[in-house]
Amino acid sequence: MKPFSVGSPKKRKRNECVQTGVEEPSTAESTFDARKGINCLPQELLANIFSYLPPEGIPECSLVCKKWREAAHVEDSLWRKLAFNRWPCYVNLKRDQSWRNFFISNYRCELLSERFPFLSDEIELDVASLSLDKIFSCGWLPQFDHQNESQRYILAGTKNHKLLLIDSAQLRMNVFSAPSISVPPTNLSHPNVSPPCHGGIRVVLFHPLNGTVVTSGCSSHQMLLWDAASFLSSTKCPKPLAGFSEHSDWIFAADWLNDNVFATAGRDGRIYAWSTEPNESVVDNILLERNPSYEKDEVPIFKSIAKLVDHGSEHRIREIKSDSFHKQFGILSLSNEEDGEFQVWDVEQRKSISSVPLSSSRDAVTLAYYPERNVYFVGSHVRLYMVDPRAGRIQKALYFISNLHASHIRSLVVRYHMLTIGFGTGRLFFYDLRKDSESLVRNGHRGLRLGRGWVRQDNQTDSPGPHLIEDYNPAVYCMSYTEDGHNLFVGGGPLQLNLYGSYASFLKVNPARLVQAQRPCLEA
Amino acid sequence: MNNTSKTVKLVSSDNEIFEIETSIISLSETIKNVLEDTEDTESIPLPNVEGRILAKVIEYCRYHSLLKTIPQSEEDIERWDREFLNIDQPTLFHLILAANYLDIKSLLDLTCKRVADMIKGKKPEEIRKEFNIVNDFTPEEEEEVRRENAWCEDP
Repeated sequence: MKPFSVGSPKKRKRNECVQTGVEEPSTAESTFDARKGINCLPQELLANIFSYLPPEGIPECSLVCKKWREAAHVEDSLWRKLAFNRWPCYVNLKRDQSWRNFFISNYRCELLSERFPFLSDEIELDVASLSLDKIFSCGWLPQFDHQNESQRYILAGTKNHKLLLIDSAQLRMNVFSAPSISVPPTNLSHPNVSPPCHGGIRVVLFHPLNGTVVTSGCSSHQMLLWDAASFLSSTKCPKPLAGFSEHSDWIFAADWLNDNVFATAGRDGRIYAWSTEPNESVVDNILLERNPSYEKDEVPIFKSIAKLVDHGSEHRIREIKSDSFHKQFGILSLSNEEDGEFQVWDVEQRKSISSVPLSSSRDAVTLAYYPERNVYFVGSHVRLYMVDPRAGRIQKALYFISNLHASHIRSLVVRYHMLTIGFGTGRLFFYDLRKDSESLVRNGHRGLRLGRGWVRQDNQTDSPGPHLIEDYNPAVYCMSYTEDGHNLFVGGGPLQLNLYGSYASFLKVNPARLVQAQRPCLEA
Repeated sequence: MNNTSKTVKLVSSDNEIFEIETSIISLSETIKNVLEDTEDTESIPLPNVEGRILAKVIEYCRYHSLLKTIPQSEEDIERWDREFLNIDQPTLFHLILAANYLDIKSLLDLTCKRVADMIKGKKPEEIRKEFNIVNDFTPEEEEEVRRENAWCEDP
């Protein structure tokens, strides 16, 4: 780092004084006043001194006197230096973010990630009365609640097409039915679009900055854009801001490619990109006239702005995770023969840049991206794969032998250098990604066991027999951490198709609960 | 390196004159820039640096530029630096100001680190005692500062 220059000594004439710039406010302080002692130093030099302290020392300094507090608070160079000292290879400032902000949030993450295995005070919600089937997707509303000093509300989507708003502070729930948006056929030559299809709300995707959220619609082929805050203001279902329609089958997953564009992965084997900005891809007016019911809705329906991938319907695409830094995305596709494949695509070139076949990967359904190391994690039936998109090969396969019979990794989340793994058997595992890749932090050798939720036999199908319900554990279909990592929402429900039910709970930080880390079983 | 014997006169705020080899004082970016800009500078007035401080600065520059030709062990350098900083607080703060003004990064690092070591591990009250600082916060302000610094507490 350059020392703090007081006035520019360049371009001085011969024999001229090397002066501190008279206009600098610190000049007056540069002349030493013995009575002021250390406080004769200008603020930026005090901050430079603080930068040699461990971060925990900064708060102590802020409490010394007003001048020190100001130096620690205002001088962003201090925080920049602290950040570079602590994470020399990982400094990634968001737009308009101060270094102080960056440092503090990352420092908190570090403290928190050491606590993750102790996120274990489960608060299970009583969902039985709500008749919800299988919570497939979830996300925290960005709204910050000052009373709780955290985010407070979670929005979840279910298989029976309900949107569930949960107040984590009062444990109150509000159920909305996703409104049906009538969509004119987007393709005149094929006016017979398939009727609304009930694959469940598999996407709840909050925008990281602008307070909007996209979810699956009443038909699983469609997406809806909402103002997140509108769910808080009324007990009735709010009106979506826009609809998106072009897939011909269920949408399984979605992720943001950049600030205005998200991509969806469908059972039709396609990835579409959609813009949330007003754009010309809004369904054509001529088509609108043919469908008068659309006019009543007044919700603009958008077509995609691009078809990024088309694998055909025999290769359904289960998952997509975006890597906006490299302008790439990873997808997980499954053929009708249950052969899984993981691919990385380049957004701009619209072509696959690496491809990894996943052997015996039945039910490879979930994907997570870890940007700090640029690796993807793929969760399948009994294995967790780590894939490097540059090498285009599997780096490591973890094998969860203790749950051999029905592990079914159903959800993965990377947060604060901690990979959280949700299983079909109602368990959670925590995996610290900064430690050597073989160390797997577990709560006991079988993972953290979750509550049972609520379940009943689906009357419309064959009875599964009571034994199935007795052995029942909910599958973890979705997970979401609050921004500060203090609260993890876990949603799920039965893995078996013929069971009907749901599970929802919050796991809160409990630093008191210490758990011994154990080593994983690594596949030979 | 044929200008090793070339010298320049530095004039302190109390008009003490120090004649020193330009190769040595070039550790100061500020002076180096002046010398580069004007070929045949004879003297440079430094109205912000007292003579006794300038003497310390030159002592530092002399030792550390000598290391380029006669390497020393890490321990020896550390010992020398420690001895060098065996000074009272006012001198140390003077030296920080001078190092900053003359833009000598290694000296600024050294002196700031020394002050940081005096702060390290101390409670605010102990820091105030060490540096003779008066607490000018009201209890309410102190509470607010505590709140904005809660980030480093255990979650």
